[in-house]
Amino acid sequence: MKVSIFKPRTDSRRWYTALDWDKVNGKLFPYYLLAPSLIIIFGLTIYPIFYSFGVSLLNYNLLIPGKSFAGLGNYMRLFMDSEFWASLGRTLYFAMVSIAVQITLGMIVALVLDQRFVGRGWTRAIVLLPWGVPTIVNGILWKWIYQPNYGALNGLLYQLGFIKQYMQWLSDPWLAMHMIIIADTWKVLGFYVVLFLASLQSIPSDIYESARVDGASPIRQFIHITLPMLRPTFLLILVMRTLETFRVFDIIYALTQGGPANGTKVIGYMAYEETFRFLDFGRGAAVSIVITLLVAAFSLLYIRMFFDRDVQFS
Amino acid sequence: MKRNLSILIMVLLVLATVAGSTIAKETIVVVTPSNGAPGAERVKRIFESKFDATIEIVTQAYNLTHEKIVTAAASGSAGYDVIPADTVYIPSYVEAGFLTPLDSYIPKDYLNDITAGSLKEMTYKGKIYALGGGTANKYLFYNTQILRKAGFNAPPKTWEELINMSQVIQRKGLAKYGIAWGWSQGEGLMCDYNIFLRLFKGDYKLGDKWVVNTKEAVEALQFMADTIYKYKIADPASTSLDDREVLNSFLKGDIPFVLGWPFGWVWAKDPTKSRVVDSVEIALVPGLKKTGVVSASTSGASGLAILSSSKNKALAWEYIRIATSPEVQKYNMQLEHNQNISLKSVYDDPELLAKFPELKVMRKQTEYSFPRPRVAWYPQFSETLRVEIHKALTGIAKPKQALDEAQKKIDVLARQFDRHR
Repeated sequence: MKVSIFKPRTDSRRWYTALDWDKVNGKLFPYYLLAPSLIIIFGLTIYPIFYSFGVSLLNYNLLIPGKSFAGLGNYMRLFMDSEFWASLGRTLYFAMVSIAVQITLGMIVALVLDQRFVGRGWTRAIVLLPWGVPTIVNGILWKWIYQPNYGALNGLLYQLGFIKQYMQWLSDPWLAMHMIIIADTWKVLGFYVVLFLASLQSIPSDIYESARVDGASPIRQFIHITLPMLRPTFLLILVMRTLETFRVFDIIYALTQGGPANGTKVIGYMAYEETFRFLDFGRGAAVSIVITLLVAAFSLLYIRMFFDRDVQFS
Repeated sequence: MKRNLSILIMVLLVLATVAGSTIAKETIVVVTPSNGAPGAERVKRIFESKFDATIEIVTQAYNLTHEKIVTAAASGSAGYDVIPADTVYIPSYVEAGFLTPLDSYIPKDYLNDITAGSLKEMTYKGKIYALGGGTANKYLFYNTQILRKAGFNAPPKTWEELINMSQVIQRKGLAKYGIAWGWSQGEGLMCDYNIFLRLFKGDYKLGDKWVVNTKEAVEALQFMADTIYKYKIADPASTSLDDREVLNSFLKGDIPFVLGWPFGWVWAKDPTKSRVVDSVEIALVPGLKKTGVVSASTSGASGLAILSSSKNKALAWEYIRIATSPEVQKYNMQLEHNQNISLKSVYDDPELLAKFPELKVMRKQTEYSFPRPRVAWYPQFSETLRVEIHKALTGIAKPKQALDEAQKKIDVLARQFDRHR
């Protein structure tokens, strides 16, 4: 195919007539096509990251007149702040526990939904429904469920006789963190189920048949066939959910606003608080950059793992 | 022919643009918390009947107005003209260069009519930055029906009395708890702590130094925790409710006492929100027999201010002038018990006084009003102190230990900010 997009008129007085424009356009053609997307990615992602990095190097607090170069001062102060490490610890805990719980539950539900039973289609649709609820709506919903005096959870557990008096679900830092994990799990479980279910259905049934012929029990089939075949899905889930859990903000904002006693203040909430409540844009940007770097490090790690495994599979 | 047609089209386009720009009315964008939206709509109608301009109202949940304003003002491009400015945020808005001083706009007779309390709360470094912030305080709301059933004919005058009355009410099974607090880790907690600090004769400063771990402060915090754990008169759920959610129990008639803001009074008198319309009364926040302090309250006025990025400051001022006029303040009170009154002439209005006896209590409460620290870095100050107070109230730390920790953090903040003053 001959492509000529920027082919100037022949003019012996100009330098560019010496070029072979057909060849140049042929090589550049893919870039012309990519340019609009690249411009958008640059404008909406790359530029803001660099801008944010620039801000993180400044003493830039709206309450203090003027801006000045701080070098790595914001980062140094951050790393010396015990609250930063505590927030980071809470984020890691939230990420690890929620992903572990969600992978286990998602796998169990997917295995159940992979069996044939009456109403399977409906059940699959219902499991997916919460995933369509916006996170902030989910947060408000669960805030009502956890409401200590009139909430549905207390009502249900009390009537079933599981609790003798109404519980304050969001008054204790440790308990509040786990209640947030439950609320988050309710919302994202559908995502896990869909991915696991799709992978389960792609496993050829003749492998199971051969295993059965060889006398393998269902548990051995699960351990030696299902789990290894689901490995790419595990990695995909790990990548996507680690990124999401590190950036968690809205459900915490809706449910606890970082409380009680900062017990649910994760690093994403800290970035918001420093920037929009305390107007310290330099420090807020530094927290954001730390989150970006952490997420990038995890992504690289996972991507390496993912591709290595992929090669083995192929 | 083709060329003529193009010229004709271009001329028409230019004419349309010019005509459009002259016809298009100027628009003033007003940000209002959701509970102020009906009032803002009324002001909009009056404004639009007087001026050839339109009002666009942006409604926002009250707790999010600070973030909304900060992000809009910092970017300078949101196009807001009039914003609600809470007394505690005015210093930080001014230091960040967000607000326009209103002094040059305010007529002298109007200025003389503003109550001293309101004027003080809307002023920072000698300039007035907002208007219409009534002398809003926290009051004691009480349920006369429950009190009568328990054999009490008058509200408590001291906290010692309130504790005793609550225990009687609880013993008789008339209510599960005497009071509930909005003590989640939000600003509402700071407002109540402020009251108890004052009741114990404490303060935030010793000379020029910020001191939050004084003996009085520790006693005040201990007393707050005691209402839940020692006297058992406060709902233990208090530590996870904010100062709006806490009203639910009171408005349902489940508890006899609650500390409420003026907006809570509007809700209490609204039959769609309240089951206690006929049994709710208002009284001064009780005093403390132990210290002899008669009463104390936190002021939380929120006035209307003009953003410095506003391109229509003159029209924005006209909106504020109407919204804060005596007629509108009186009408709001008559229509929805809205006590956001900032003018002496409205307080003294005989018609209003006859119809709303609570106005006398309100005015009296302003005499015992105690402000929260008015510094630009108040959001940090409050957050730091609140987190530690919350630790004491949830039993994670002892009051003294919590306030000592707060002191360390506030020392660091004070060094950071005060060296720039």
